[in-house]
Amino acid sequence: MKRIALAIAVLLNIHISNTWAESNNNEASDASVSNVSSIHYVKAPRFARPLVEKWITEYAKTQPNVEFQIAKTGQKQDDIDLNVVFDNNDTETENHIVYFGEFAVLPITASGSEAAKVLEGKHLNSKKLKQLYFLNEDFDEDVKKIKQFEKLVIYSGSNATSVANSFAHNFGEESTSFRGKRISGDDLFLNTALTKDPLGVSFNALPNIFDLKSRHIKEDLTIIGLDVKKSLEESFSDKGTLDQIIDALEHGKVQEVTVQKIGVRYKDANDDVNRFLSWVVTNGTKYNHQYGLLNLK
Amino acid sequence: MVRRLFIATFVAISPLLALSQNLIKGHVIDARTGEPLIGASVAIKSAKLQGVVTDEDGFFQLESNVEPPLTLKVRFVGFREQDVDVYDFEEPVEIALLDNANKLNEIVVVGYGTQKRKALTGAVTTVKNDELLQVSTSLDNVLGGAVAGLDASSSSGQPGSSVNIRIRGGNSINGGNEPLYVIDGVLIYNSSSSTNTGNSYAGTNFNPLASINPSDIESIEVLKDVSASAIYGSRGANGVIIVTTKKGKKGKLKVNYGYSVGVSNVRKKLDLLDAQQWGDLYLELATDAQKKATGVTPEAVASWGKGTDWQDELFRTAITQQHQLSVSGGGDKERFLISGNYVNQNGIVRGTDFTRIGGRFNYERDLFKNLTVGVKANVSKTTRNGQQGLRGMAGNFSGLLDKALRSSPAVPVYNADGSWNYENPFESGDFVRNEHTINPIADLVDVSAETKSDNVLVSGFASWDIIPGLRFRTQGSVNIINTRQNIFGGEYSQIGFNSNGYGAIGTKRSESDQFEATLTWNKKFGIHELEVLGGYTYQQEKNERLHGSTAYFSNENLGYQSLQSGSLNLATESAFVNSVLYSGIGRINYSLLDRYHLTATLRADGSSRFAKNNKWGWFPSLGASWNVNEEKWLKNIKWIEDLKLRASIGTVGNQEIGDYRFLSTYAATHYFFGGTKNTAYYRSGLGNDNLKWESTTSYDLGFDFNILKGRVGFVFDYYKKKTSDLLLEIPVEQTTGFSTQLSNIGNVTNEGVEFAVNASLIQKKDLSWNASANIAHNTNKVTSLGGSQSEIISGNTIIRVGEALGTYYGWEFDGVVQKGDDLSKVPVPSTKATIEYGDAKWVDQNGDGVVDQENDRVILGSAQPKLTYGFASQLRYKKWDLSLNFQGSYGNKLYNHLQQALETPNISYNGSANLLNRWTESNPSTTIPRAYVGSSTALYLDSRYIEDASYLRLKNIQLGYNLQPKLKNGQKLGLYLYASAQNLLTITNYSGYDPEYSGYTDSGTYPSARTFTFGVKLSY
Repeated sequence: MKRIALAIAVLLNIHISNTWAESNNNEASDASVSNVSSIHYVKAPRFARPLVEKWITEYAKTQPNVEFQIAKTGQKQDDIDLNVVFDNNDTETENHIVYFGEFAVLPITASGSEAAKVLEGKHLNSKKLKQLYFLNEDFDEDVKKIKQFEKLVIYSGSNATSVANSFAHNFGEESTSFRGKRISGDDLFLNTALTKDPLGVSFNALPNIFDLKSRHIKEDLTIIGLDVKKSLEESFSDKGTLDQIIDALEHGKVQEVTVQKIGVRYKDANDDVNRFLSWVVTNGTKYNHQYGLLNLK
Repeated sequence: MVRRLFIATFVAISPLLALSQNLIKGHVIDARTGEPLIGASVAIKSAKLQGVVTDEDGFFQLESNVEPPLTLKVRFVGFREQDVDVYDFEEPVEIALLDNANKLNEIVVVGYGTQKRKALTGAVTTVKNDELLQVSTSLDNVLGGAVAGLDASSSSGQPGSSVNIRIRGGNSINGGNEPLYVIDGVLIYNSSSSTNTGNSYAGTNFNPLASINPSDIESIEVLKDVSASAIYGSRGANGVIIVTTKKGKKGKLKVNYGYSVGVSNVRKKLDLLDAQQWGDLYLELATDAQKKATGVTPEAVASWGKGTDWQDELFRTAITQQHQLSVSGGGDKERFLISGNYVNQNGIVRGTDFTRIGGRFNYERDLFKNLTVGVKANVSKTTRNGQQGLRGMAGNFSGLLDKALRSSPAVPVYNADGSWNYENPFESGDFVRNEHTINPIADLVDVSAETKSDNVLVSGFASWDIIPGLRFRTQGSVNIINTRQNIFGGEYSQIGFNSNGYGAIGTKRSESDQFEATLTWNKKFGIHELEVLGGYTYQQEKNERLHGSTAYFSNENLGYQSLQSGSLNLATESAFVNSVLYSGIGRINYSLLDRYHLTATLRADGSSRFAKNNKWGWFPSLGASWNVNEEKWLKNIKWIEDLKLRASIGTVGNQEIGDYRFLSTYAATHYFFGGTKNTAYYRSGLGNDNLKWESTTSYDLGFDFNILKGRVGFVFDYYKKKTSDLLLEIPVEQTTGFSTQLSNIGNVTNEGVEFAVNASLIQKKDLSWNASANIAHNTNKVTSLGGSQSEIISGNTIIRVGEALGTYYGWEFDGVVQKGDDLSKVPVPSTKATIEYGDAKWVDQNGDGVVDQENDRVILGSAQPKLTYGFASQLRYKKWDLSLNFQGSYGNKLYNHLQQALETPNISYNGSANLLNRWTESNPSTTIPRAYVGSSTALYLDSRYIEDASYLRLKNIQLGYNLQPKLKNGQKLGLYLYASAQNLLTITNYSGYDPEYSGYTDSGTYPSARTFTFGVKLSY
């Protein structure tokens, strides 16, 4: 019995140790490979990753000798060649940005939640959205309406890659002025937070709200009604498709919807990177709609 | 068996345990400024013991085996705590905390401790470092306009001069009215007498606080009411200003450097006659003999042109340079700050300047967990140059500035060969000797007149937390001011021309030793919170003075460095003054439900300045406050953040009544007997065994009101102060050998309201706008002068029951006698034998036909302002910022004696351009009388020259740009560039140089400058 126990322990230990060592070796070998075969890493918020992966796949078909990869978790910033950034979150003046499209942010809540019931049938204009999402420090005739929103909990992202800044700026606010709770992690987790809190209200980029295959809103989410033209009401409801919304936003401005440019930031680009960026601008943008992004106006 | 299985399993899963540790990285910043928050606590909510604090750059790393999602709780003092749900560890967690705009939660420094503003029962205003006027070279000069009820005005615009501060009006007639300063716990009564060596020609108003570098100040607390100031007992009556200097903080080494250069000019020039205009006047006034003596003819006058502009000669463009360097930091157990500063400020009047070299060392060390010791040392060397007083025959001039302004424009400053001109044919007798006259510009430049002061202020403390809630603190300090004033003027200078040169040296050593020990016990019992403070303090002040002077110099080359070169020894005098103050202090702070607060204070002072029958004074106060917003019936009103009502009552004293004044004193004198000089003593003062402090009993009602999450705040106070036992000379029986005796008799009241508002109008990442304003009204009234007298006339002012201190008393101007007036009905002034057309008229108050000093003077207004106010605005857009500070007063009068002198026609001295509008038969002026020689009306105060000195001044405007270039190591360098202007704009009807003057009579006061400053601040 004693021997069996010891044997199990030793074997298990050896196996786990090997697995761990293997994974470490893989990382080490990745690093060494990257040094010799010039793998170029691209970092992107999760909602833009499917598009970037598509670029990488398609570009590899034309340039099989140059390898681009999505950056790994915890990878050092110095090793990253390209960063997908928004128009307003890049302060590094020595960097250059090539814009390839725009993303849109819509207010959402969990379908069937108590928050959805409170907001059901409402068509919120900018002022009311501001009252719903931000710390309200003015008082005017709409104070009573705010009270309905008071019990709702706003979830907003706090990471550098979050669309929270873009959303806040669209209403003349700062991301520090959000009511409610902050989450850290990709904005995709805002959806998760909503499913956990029946009073939760949030916002997200279109690729995180819609199922890119079915082109319909994800099952567990609902779009908060906006004060848009009657002709657009259906587009900006749960009945609308991703393509309808993209079309509406590309053909006119909707004040309540945050639309922001998105681009690729690079620093001291080499020829490989330059060629890739050139390809993105000329060929990569045709996938924008497919992956939930708008084309540049 | 079980044991073996356990070991085997542990060995097996140990790698798994290692693998399951998650690393959470993050960064905590201040949401408003973007600055990292050092020492913020970050903990996982579900794992109570797992937490870290942010490092010196605001970063944290937290290892946890809790799987995401998890919630981090982030806390930092003064900021709203925040929960952050963490869903993955892919990216560092960025956390921006919003500061707690709720002002009531801030900690306020009060006497012998600190208190939460929420629990304060007194009226205390805090001025933070960033709100101070940074370009000022002196700490008392930075408070003007910043605090409701605090009136700051300069005694002179000369660099290094003292600033007079009055908190809620002046209380005393013969005692001091300056507030008490408490600098890092060291009590300092700011009196220029501590630097006054008796060498008055070198100046009497050198500011001891000029030794403190304003950039070293962290915050200033102004204690205005009795609940706050009673802990200072016999020194609290005039309010208390607590200054806390910066200290090092835990974290990485911080280096700050600042440099600024300023260009100053006189703010305005007076409109004076030019040479030709003055020559015409001379021809009109001078007798034929005088014209013959001076050789002035109409033809000569026509050729004079503009002549000498003495203002251009007097004033200059002056440069000020400042360097500031500080290094601070600290570890787990010790904190330090070392700073140095250098200021070189040239005055706008030639020959005047101020220099300060100073250093500070603040150090604290936690010897044990419950025992901290520290030392704070400030050392400085200050020098001021520029003659101030005139010696001997002054010819009704107040100083060289006045003398220069009124010099004849027909007289050049220089001879043709560039040397000083000492010949002035128009000069009157006072300033003529051996056919030479004085040249005021030459005196300003050549006469050595310097005040050098070395100031050491060192304190050490130990703070011991005996048990939780019980703290013993002791502090000892020494403040030594060594001042030396040197002056030397040659035979052509004003101070030396009557005695073939004059030299003097004065020295003064002022030492103040202080010791204090306090025990503070703090305990919370459920809904009750109690803090009890008890302590003992001791302060001894010693002043030693020596002054010597000689005249008739055979050799002027060595100046004051060889007083023995003067053949005449003038009086040499010395003095030694010692005073001691023993005190016991006690304070109880009680809070119920953190909503109802009570403060009871008692101080007992035993002072050597008090007579034997009143050696000890007891000064109690009681204050209460109520956080009304926390009551149920108000709690639901969301827009009200805080509402606190305050009330206080108590008695404080003023021991600044001088030393040995209760004693019968004797003074030395000399007499000649048989050709020999002998010494004798005479009784110089009549003693009073009952002499004591002046006491001020006051009450205060006020509220603090914050709305909109603290973005807008209001503070209101109503107060009434009654100062009794005023020190006055009262008439006594002639048999005593004296006509008066100093006694505690007489009352003065001050009653007023104060209102302040602060608003954070915009707070965005890229745009912020803060504004603040304050206004105060004070009514000062003398209510009693003792039974035997109802008024005291002192020169041009009167102290009269029912009137304010600083009330002007003089003739009431009634226009100019016009052709056609019945001369027999015009009252004749006592200064003239007969009245003529074109003469000034004054109201004959008693109707006796003569206007004289005894019967026809009336009250002409008061120097006390009806309103004092200030407002400020700070606007920041991205990297730019713009700040404005305004200061003003309304309703105060000022006697413009210089203008009176300039409007008195004279054949020796220049006059105002207003004289061009003088009365003539063809120009029947109603304001400027005719010109005639021999007018002595300039000696008497006249309502024309009591001017409205109300003003609104743009004290400072600053535009800055904040660069933060990245260094090679990735660190950001703080680089701030700014341009500012001081006194850029002054709106006033006052016709003199400057309405902001602390005295009662403006006889040609050194004007304040308009300065443009450019500076850079570097921080790393």
